Formats: sequence, C-alpha cells, structure tokens
Amino acid sequence: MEKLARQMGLLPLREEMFAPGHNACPGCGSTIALRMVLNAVGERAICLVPASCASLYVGPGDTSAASVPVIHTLFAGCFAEAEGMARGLHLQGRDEKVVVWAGDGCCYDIALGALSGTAARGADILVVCNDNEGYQNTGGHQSTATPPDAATRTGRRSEHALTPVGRKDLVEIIAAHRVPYVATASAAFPQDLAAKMAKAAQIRGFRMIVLLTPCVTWGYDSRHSVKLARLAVETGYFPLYEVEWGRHYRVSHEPAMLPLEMFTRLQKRFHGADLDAVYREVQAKWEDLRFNAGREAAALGEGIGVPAPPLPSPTIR
Amino acid sequence: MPRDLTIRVAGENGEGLLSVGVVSSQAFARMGLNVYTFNTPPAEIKGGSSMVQIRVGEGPVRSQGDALDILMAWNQENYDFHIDALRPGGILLYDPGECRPKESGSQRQYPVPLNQIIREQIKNPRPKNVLAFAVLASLAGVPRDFAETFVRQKFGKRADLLPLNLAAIQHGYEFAQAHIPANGTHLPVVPQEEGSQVLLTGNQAISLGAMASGLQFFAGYPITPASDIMEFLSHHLYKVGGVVVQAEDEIASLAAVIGASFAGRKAATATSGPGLSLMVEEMGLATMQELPLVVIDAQRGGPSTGLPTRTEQGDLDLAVYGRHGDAPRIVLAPTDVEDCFYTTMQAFNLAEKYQTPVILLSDNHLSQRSQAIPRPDPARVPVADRELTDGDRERFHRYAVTEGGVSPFAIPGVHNTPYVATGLEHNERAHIDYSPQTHEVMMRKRQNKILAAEHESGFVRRYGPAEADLGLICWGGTEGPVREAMERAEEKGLRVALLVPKMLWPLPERALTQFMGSVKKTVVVEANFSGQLANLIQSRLCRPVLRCNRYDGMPFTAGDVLSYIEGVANHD
Repeated sequence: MEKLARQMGLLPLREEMFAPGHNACPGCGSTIALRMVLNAVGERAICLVPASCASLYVGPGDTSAASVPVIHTLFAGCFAEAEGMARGLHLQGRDEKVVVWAGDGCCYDIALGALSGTAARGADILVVCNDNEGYQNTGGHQSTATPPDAATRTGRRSEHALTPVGRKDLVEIIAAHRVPYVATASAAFPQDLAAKMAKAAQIRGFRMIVLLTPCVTWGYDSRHSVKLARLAVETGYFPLYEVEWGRHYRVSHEPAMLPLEMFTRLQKRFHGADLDAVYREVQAKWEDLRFNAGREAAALGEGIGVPAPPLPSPTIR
Repeated sequence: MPRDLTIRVAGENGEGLLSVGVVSSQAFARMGLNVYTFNTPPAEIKGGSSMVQIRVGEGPVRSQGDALDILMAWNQENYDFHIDALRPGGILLYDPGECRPKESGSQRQYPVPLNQIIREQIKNPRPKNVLAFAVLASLAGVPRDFAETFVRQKFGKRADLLPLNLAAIQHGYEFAQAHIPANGTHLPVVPQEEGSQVLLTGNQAISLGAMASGLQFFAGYPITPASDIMEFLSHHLYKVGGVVVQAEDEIASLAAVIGASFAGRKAATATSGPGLSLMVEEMGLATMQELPLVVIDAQRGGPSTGLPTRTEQGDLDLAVYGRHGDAPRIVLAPTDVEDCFYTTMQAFNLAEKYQTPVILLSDNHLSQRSQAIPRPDPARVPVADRELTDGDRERFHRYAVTEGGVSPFAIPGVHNTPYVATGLEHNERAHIDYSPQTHEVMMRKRQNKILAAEHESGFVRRYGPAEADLGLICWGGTEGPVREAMERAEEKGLRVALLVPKMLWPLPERALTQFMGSVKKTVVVEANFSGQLANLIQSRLCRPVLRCNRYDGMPFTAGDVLSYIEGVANHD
C-alpha cells in the first residue's frame, strides 16, 4: 500500500532518486522533470540516455545525479538498445523497468524510425521524451518540435520551409501505433505527472510520455522556468492528455485557456514571430483533441447535455 | 618589445568570458597584428569553467603559444587550474575578491578587482568582459582612443550598452595604468590598408570558400563542432540563390546532397565523426553513381559522443577507408584558417573534375579558432565545373570509359540524354550489368580516376632545407605548431624539414618518397593515438617512420613538438 502511495506521489519519498547539485544550467526545466520521473519510477529502473544535456548531468560516474543505473547511448539506436535490454532482463526473470530519457531531437527526428519500430514491436520500454522544442545542447538549433516561426540559431523555422510547417505531433504518431499508453505531462503539474508515470509503470509493453520542459535557450529569465511550464499548459499551447491503445483519449487537465501571449512574451525566441501561426496550430490541436476525447466521453455516456468545453482564447494583441 | 604575447583569461562560463576573447581578438586584428585564438568551452550551455587564449604578435603566429605571458584568473578554481601554464616572469592578474594566489618568486602578481569595479563604479555587471579587455588592452599597448573607437563601433547601435562599455574602458585603462607596470608587454600598432585583413574562424572560412566555389545546396544536421557552418550558411547562402536544409539526421543530409548533385548543382554537407560514420552507406552510393559532392568533417575527440568540444585527428581512417566495397574517394585536409578557404575551393573543384565525393577533414581546434588572415581572394582558385555531355543522345554513355576515367555528366531534364543512375553495378550506358568483365572494367575506372588525382599540383607543402637530419610530416590543423617547432629547432642549429600533404587520399606517394629520401629519419606528427597517417604511409610505402602523437583532446603546442625533435636529435 505504501509502495503504491509512494508511486502515486502521495507520500514523501524516503530517498530522492535525483540528487541535488547537478551541473545543468540554472533554470533548467528538464532536471525538475527528470527528478519527478525518476522518483515516480523508483529504484528498480534502468535508464538509457542518448546524447543530450542529460548525458552530462546524469552520465555514469561519481558525479551522476541519478540514483539508478544509467547507460549513455547513441541517438539512432537508443530505443532498439532499450528493447534489447528489456528482453535481456526478461530472460533473466528480472522486473526492472527500462526507461529511455530522450530529447525531442532524438524522438522527433533522428531516431523516429527506431521509435516507430520499437512501438510497432511492442517493446516493453517506457520512453520519456524531454521535449524542449529544439536541439538545445548544440546551442539552440531547430528540430521538428520547434514551433513555427520561433527563432533558432539558423534563423526562423518558417524561413527554411516551402510550405507552412508546425510542430510535429509526436503523441498522435505514436498513438497511431495503437500502443497501450501514450501521454503528455508537465513538471508544473507534479500530481498529474506522477499519476501518469505510475500508470505507465504498471503497464507492460510500449509506453511513452512527452514532457514539455522549458530550456533557457528559449531566452527567458531563469526564474521563469516553472512558470513557463505552467503557462504552456494553461494557455492550451501544450495540452495534458493521455491516449490508451491509440483510441481512448482523456484530457487530464482542463486548461484555463489564458491568452497565448502570456506564454510567448516571456521568451526571446517568440519576439517578432508570427504568433497567428502558433495560435492556428494550437486551435487545430484542441479541435482534434475535443473530438477524440468527446467520442470517448460519449461512449461512456458522459457529457450529454453538458456545454462544450472552451477552445483556446485568441491572442490579446 | 615582445615578439608576441600569449594571454589567457579563465573564469566561469556565462560571465561573458568567451566574448573577452572575441572583443580582444577583433581589437588586436584591427591594430594590424596577427591573432590566433584558442578556447575550451564546456559542453554545457551555461556554467562550467572555461578559458580563452589569445596569441597576438607582429610576425607570423602559427600556434596558440606554449607558456602564458599573461594569465587573468577570475576565480580561485581557475587560478588553481591554469597557474602552472604561466611562464616564469609572466604576469598574473587575479580578482582579489575571488582568488588568493600563492607567493611566487618569479611571476609578477597584480590584483585586479574586476567585480569590485563593476559593483562600485560601473554599477552594472554586463560590461565585465569589456573591463577585462580594457585591462589587457592597456597592458598590451592598445592606444586608449583606439579601444574607445572600437567599442563605439561595436556597441554604437545599443544606446543602453554604449555608455556602460565606455565606462568599462575608462576604468580598465585607468586601473591598469595606475597599478600594473607594463614592462615589456607593449605591442606595436601596424598600419594597414582598411579591410585588407579579416578575422575568421575555420568554419567561417570553409563556409565562405564553399560559397566562392558556387555552393548552391547545403543539407546538415546539428553536431558540434560543425554546426557553425550550417548556421553561417543559413544566414548567407540565400544571398547567392542557394538553399539550406536541416535534415532529420546525417543519412538524410547526405542523401539530400546526393539528390542536389544529381540535379546538377554543387552541394555539400558538414558533420563530425559520429555523423560521418552514419553517412558511409550514402557515400558508397555517391561513389557508385559518380556524383560530385563535398563532405566537411570537423573532427572531434572520439569514439562515440567522445569529447564534443575537444580536438582530435581521429577520423582519417574513416575518411579514407570507411566504406563498403572498394569505394575510393578524395580526402583533403586544410591546415590553417586561411587555408580553409582555399582548400574548400579546391575540394569543390576536385569533386567536380573527378565526379566524386570529396571529404574535407578539419578539426575542432581549426574550425573553432579565430585567426587574423589576409582577406581571402577567390580569384586565386579558378572555379571548375563538371564536364557535361554535348547532348548527343546516340553517343551518350554516362559511364563511358575514358582515358582519365571521367565521363560526361548529363543533368536530368536539361540534357536530352536520359539514363538510370543506379547503385547496382552498371556498364558504360548505365545499364545494370553484373558480368565479371563489367565489374572489372568499372572498378578499374572508378579507382583510376581517383588515383589520377595524386598528380594534381599544390597539395603538398615543403618547408626547411632540401636535405635534413630529421623530416617531419604532419597534416591538417597541426601544421602551425609543427612549423613553429621546426623554425625554433632551426634556430637551435638542428637540421629539420617539414612536409605537409594536404591531400591524404590518394596519398601523394611520389612527394612522400622523395621527401623521405632526403631526410635521415622521418617523424609523423598527428593528434591521434594510433598514428593513422603514419599507418597509411607505412602501408603504402613500406618504409618505417617514427611517431609523435598527442591524444588528450588538446591541440599540439610548438613546445610539444620541439621537445620531441630535441629528444630524437639527442638520441643519435
């Protein structure tokens, strides 16, 4: 019972699985999230980290901030390596959870093929995507998770595109593999994150959680890190939801639908950007999400006669 | 007056430390001096210790320098770490609020309360870098009005920053003049024609060289230390009608480049070792289809993720032999920042002339450092283009076996000479053909055209006397320190010569054989463990060589090579 309560984040932890004194940047959003993830998974876990800032601050060695075994691996093969490890553990009758902590560059771009492969094979791994919307470890380059028109080291994403491009919707791509569980989460909503981690940890098969983690290369004051994570959710920019077996959608937190500008104006990358493009993307995402979640609610006999929940609010310019 | 000064500033990253290096090197370059920078940023984005080193002098500055003339330590940790690099008689500048140096008999120590001046007099932490620059500039003899003009030009557009930075210049100069005697540290101002000298990094010089060669398409994927090339080109290539694409990985990057080359445009990608290994399969396709393209590899410490912000010459084996099947290609290595420009132009020319992938091996130290160089002149390297078909559909054989092995190229949709480009073995007409005769003929054609490139002139440099006791061979970014060591050995009366092959495959065997015949002993100096060029030379020429290797992720210093030379000389 206590174990379950701990996993649900209801009791204080006896031991922090992510030690203080890490060497990430001040104001790093991902370390806060990683701490919650590791605490939620507990000590019977093995963590794989492909090349990223995390390979520096949770890398193996005496200075590792993580209290579980960590394997620092390569981009292209990390998910397949995790699958091999899970199979190797199963062969020995062991039950450690294999967790991959990978960035958006890895999940959205270079290793998307391997991610799809392991999802399609039903590999028994838990993938946590540390989505900071770009290749921030190399200094702030765009990835396909970068919002349209956000400034990066190579200019704005829209400048290089022949047609309008938005963020790649990785959750939907993975959901289309009909995997048992895929969800989004944010460190600004720790109970939601811990509940999703606990749920994912109980399931066998391929599970994925996409975390939006603010990165100082977005150009914000270090103290705004958690605030930005919260605003990303409350403006509707980053919905918190989960999808089971690719079909059963549930919005786990109803955002206040604050004006999008409250999120964007704190970040230099959005200065001078075409916010309408971002807004259109957010609105389309919510329309789809309401539709999919509504289908689930209707099937359960809920939501009849209840007014439709709100869509994102227009910007206040 | 000193011949040159080696200055190091060490502190916490994120305090504007790296920009001390940028500002100082730009100011020194404007004084008409030669500048050579060296820095070691940590892999983290913010935080962590780092240092910048600037060597500046009136004469040629070929390496980052050995012992430091001036060390400025911003805190205790950096003092402890760097103090051993300061030469006897050198000057230590330290922040007394942050650092307590040990007593030293021979070194001169001066407290410079950077943080106190910032806090009490300037009342804003931002211009700490310009304050540090002002102290160093005063010591190095940069005239104060020159420094002020420079700061006005640099920050003139920022009304909020300009007064702060001018105050920093004032306080820095006043403090240095009042408290630090500048014995023997003043450098001269060398009058020069406006714009005749430019300050570039190796990556910038490579990017400009590529643009001067007619680069139209670049595809890449972020990887340290090559990302700057993609950044530079995405801000500038469109001005000449070119396009930059960021792909999802290195495989797609090179594949896109192959496509652009097939479509008849000059195309390139840039990466580092881990990315080059992903490109190997695509490289085989480009070799089979005989497509001109350039792959720039800024080598870093390896294997695997290795040392992303450190240097190594560890990818030579991969560049030459990283292949499935017998797929030859041309491998070039520029030697310094100026050479990066011209060798990149030559790389495009050779790719076009021989219709082949060309790998350009730079390294982290070469790609990241800044050097003041004469303004590059594209006219020095006439631009070559691939030989095109005359459009005669009946006579057109895409892979015609010719004397030199190079066949006329047809641009799809432009020339009315359709053909199927295939990765399967094919005959002269590009038809798939597995017959033993065809494979033999086409293999020979692909090999011979690359071997013919050995006879290209201008890819071997020789320094020193025609006959010598010791012959040094080095490649790529190690040329500077090795050449400086050779000059210093000559001053000591040793007879040393140096050969620098800029083309590493095909290996310039005739030049190497001739050189090795003119010296009693040969040493191959390279920044890797196994001696990859030494192995290549031994395997091709069957002659023994000595090896001088450094493999700690740091670049060679002239002192390293000189002590090796003296060791070999004393051993005789």
